[in-house]
Amino acid sequence: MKQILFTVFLSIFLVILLPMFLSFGIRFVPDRFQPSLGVTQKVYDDVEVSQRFIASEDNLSTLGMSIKNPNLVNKKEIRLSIYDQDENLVRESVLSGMNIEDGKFVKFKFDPIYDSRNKEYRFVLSALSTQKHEALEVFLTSDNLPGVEKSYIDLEESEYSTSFVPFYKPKNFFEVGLNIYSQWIGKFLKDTAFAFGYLALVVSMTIFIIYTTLDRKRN
Amino acid sequence: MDILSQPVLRNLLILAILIRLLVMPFYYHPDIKTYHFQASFLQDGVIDIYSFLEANKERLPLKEEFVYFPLTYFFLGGYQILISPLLGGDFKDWLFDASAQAISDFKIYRYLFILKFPYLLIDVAMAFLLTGFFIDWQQKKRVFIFWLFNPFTFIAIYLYSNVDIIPVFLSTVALIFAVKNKLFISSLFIGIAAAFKAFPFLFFPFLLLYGKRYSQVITMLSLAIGSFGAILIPFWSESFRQAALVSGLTTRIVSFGIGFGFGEMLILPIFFISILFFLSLVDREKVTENMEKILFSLLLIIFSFIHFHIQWLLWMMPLAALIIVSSRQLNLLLYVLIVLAMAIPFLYNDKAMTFGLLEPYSHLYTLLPLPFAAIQRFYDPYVVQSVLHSIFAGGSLVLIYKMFRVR
Repeated sequence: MKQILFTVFLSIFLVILLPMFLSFGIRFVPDRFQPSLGVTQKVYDDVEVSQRFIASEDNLSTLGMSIKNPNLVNKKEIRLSIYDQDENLVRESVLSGMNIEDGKFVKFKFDPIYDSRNKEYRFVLSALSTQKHEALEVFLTSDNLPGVEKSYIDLEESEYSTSFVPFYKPKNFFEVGLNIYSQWIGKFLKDTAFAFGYLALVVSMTIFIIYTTLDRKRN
Repeated sequence: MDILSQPVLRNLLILAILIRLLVMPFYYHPDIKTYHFQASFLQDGVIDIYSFLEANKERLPLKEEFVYFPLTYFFLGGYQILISPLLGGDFKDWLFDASAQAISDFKIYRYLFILKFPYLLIDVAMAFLLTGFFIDWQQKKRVFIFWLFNPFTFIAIYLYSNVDIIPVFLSTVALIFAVKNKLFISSLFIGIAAAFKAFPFLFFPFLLLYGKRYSQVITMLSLAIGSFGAILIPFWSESFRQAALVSGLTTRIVSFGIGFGFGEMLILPIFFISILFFLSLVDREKVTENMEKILFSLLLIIFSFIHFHIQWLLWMMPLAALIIVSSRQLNLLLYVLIVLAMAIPFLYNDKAMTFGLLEPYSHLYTLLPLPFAAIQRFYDPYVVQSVLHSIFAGGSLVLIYKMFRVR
């Protein structure tokens, strides 16, 4: 009996409860999948990569991007500076090449920008102390991204954008979990034929079990 | 007395199916997409999948080799052809989409449910099959309920989309025929099971011990190898050898040993399996009473000495079910070992083993740090894995000893 109850509870736990519990561990939420990785651009000395974008949510707190560090030769700093539309420096984040594996997706974290939603920002990647031969390389993309313009490489407009992902800090403890559940249910119901058939099957089996169990107890 | 004539057991069967249906659409392991992508070429008339994948690697979106044996390809490919009207026209596009966005397809729940459905049928059939090992009605009931409600197979099959349930089922069929002294049919089933995946051949030397005469043994050998060979030989090529023969199990089982010079090595898993075999050989009269314990011990030895996938643990579950029902004194140790064995792969540095399973809910779960990364902050996670694996090996040794002491 204990085994039956345990496995039944396990099934319900896996489907309903575990996703909510795990959602509490998601501290930063991206607003898209990473764009495709195309060519790379070296960042060194006075060669900077500049990118304008519009934040889609409040609490912008991280920018993630893939960076090459061929032969792990770079051990120096790379700096991300974020400017608002008035060109005020609002945030900075520094990573060390010592912690950047070749082709790794890295995150530049900074204090959340609370009212970032629908505001335009410009980030600049720079590495003043790096020489060309040891430069880190940031991946660019040819994908057209909403709210993202073409990058500027050393003040010249490129035909590509930076392949980056903005992350936002949830406003409260339950926001992520509730969003996950609402998107999950919405996605499930979008396949109407399957959702209807599946729910009909599950509900009818549940009713059958309850009915026959109660019927047996009555008799 | 028939299982289905009992209202309580009938209701438990429906409940067991229900809890499986609840989980089936919502947990995703990438293997199910990979091998169904590969199996989809059967519809296009591809018979030799190994050569096809090798020749077309550059243009295909998924580059993995087909690591199973041919019957897995034909089974999965044939099933896809059969249920293609239910999968819909977009299914093939989904299979061919190698991007991270593929998981966002709203039809993924339909695909997962339908693709796992054969496993549900075989899983339920296994519950009935296991009752055939017992004469006592209470034992039949216990093994039926144990199999339907044991969390280990539930997780292995429906979370990890474990196609191994097919050769596991066929191996169990082979075993029941051997126990009932239908040795030639047993050998045929072993050959067929091995034509899905190689591991059933691990059991075969022990099943040969049922043969009382040399002519029987030779016939059993011929049937098993013959049926296996008849299926495999048409596919023999370098591509097949690389993809399916040089697999995880076959290389890992012979890679751990103690070198004693001149290029030779005492291969420890083979050493201990040989001990088990020769002990069985000299005590053949007891083989028929204890075959499930012998085969379970065989798998414990193998898993003690190799880095294993969680899916492989399914191989031992029917045997565990038989032992749990017939030798209840060992239950606690057996449960502890199985939990330990399932915990070890959770510590691997592989997202698909843990939070990646929940991607059908949201890809955000892949942002969670793995247990591997969490442990890495404090200690070397490989050492932790090794400690747990060593404890598992020690516990396995004790269980093997106790299994043959308990009457």
